[in-house]
Amino acid sequence: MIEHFDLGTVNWARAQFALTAMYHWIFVPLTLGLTFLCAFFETIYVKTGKEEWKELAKFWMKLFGINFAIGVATGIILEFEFGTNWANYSWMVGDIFGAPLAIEGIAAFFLEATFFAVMFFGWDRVSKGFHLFSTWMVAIGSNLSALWILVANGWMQFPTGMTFNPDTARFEMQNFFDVVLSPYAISKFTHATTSGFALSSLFVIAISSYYLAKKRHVLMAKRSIAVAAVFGLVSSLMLAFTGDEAAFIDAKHQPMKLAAMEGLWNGQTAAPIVAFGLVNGMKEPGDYNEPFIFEFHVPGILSLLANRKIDSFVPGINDLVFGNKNQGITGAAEKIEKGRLAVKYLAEYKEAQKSGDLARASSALNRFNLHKSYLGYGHLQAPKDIVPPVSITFYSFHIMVAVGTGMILIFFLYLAFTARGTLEKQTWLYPLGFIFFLLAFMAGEAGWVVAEVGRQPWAIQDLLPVTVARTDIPSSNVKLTFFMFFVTFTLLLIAEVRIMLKQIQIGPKEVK
Amino acid sequence: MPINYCQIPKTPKKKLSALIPKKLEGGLAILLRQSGVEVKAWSLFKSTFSLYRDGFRSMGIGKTLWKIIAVKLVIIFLVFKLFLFPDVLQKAFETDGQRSEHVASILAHMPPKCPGNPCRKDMLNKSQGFPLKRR
Repeated sequence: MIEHFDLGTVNWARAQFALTAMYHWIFVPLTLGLTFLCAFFETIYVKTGKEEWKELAKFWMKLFGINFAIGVATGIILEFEFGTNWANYSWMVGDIFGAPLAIEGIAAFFLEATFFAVMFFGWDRVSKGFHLFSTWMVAIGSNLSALWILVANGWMQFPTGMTFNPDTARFEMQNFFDVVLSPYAISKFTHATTSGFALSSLFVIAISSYYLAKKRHVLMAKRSIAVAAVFGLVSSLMLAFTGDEAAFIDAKHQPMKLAAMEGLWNGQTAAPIVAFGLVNGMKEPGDYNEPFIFEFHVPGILSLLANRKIDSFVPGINDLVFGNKNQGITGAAEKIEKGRLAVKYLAEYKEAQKSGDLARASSALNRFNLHKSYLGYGHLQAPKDIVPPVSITFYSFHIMVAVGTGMILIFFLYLAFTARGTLEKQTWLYPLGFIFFLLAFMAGEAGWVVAEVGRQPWAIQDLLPVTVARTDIPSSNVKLTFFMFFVTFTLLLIAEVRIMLKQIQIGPKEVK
Repeated sequence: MPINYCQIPKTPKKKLSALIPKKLEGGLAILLRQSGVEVKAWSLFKSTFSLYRDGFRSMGIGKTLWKIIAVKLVIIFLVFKLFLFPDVLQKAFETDGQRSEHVASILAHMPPKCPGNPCRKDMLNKSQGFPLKRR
């Protein structure tokens, strides 16, 4: 697909946003999960009164603190990019994103900042109970902060609870709870946080495995693994469940994304899921090329995932581009025509307003309202524009699912050997723990690639394509900031890894 | 049971005035005295302050982390924000009305159809689905 890339401003802006978000997502999932693991370790300390658990909690808190400090504010760049590279989009969604992001800021400040100090500085200064309460509040606060960002992202995937105001050119919120409790918001939140929990569990397991391999801090390592393996197993099972739910709602609201995820070009009843395959990158909508160079598929499973019925119909990319009357699917050409009407009546409304012709303005507005749900299509040039990059979406999705499935097995093995008391003998498992920790990072990033690349060309699903959302600035500006950002954040990442490795070398304080 | 916020040595309750240094006698002390704030609240404030102060003083790796945070914030806000990431609409227009007019004009602009790329009308006519060999 690379030959299709036009590295103009919009693609540089997209690349920059992706780079920023992916760097940010290196730090965020560890924060989300490590806070809960620290809370678990400390809860055991408070329950048992054993100092070893306290030292354990302190050690993992230190690593959490390093990750938090390096990661803090990396997300702010995303907001800067909205104003510079995505000014039109930023203007249009200001009313929707204002409330969730304000709540995020306030919640993050009060919950995290207040209890953070107690968590790090309060050992032996506040009561055990209050310290534990603070640690839990940091965990809950961090995860609640993520909620609001994910609500905003969920709204872009499934815009609901709003109306478009042509006078202000803004999407205006009608119902806050529709936005916050939309199926996409819930799905994004549960899937993203559980992925963070699983990744953090692997982080603890990988470092503890290193200690076991080096025969240092053995008791601490075994205890850490016991807690992390339970948390990781539960999280990874939840991750599979929430992932299934995410695909189910994609089938309802973003069928093109689902079709690209599975490389399904022609809709089928009892549609198969591709376990693995090599995508034919030359395939285009409507041609007769084979979609895969090779593939291994399991019949009926995609229909089951998408509709909960094994013999149901799942639309393919061609059905969504060209339409399929037999299945009641409207093609993109028809939607583009309706979208063009929306654009035309919007222009007419604005013109009539300027000239003071109220009757014409009212008539144009009524017609615009009839077609406004297709507004975004009016800015597309051809039906095939609704197809996202299939290869990227397909491979990202399959990497994510393969790693997610492997994680369940890894957590199960660690837990089983811990329960049998033979973990120290399973030296072959330790490298796997580390490899899966790195793979989990990759899977998390791949998940975001599926979510965002898979919904192209939309900045806001069906309503605003990225070509209209962008700012009209020279691509050289975006290139400059892209590389500056890349260098700065790579240095930060190197700093984090070095500081963390040093602390891991030192290890936790042993209790005599 | 109320939460035990701090392990503060138990002291008999006194009026705040007894704790306020003479240097501070004046508006603030009078205000606090009049509002009837008790010793416990004052002690809570003092212990919270000392929690932060001692915590920052006793930091080890934390000092390095704070330095990194400071450098990062300087780069983000004083370099990136000021010089590289202007709020384009904010800068280009004076009022919200002008901004909304600008965005509306972009939204109301019809793009050309299929520039330099045939629309493949043959394909668009096949609206009964696309019966290919497989998948």
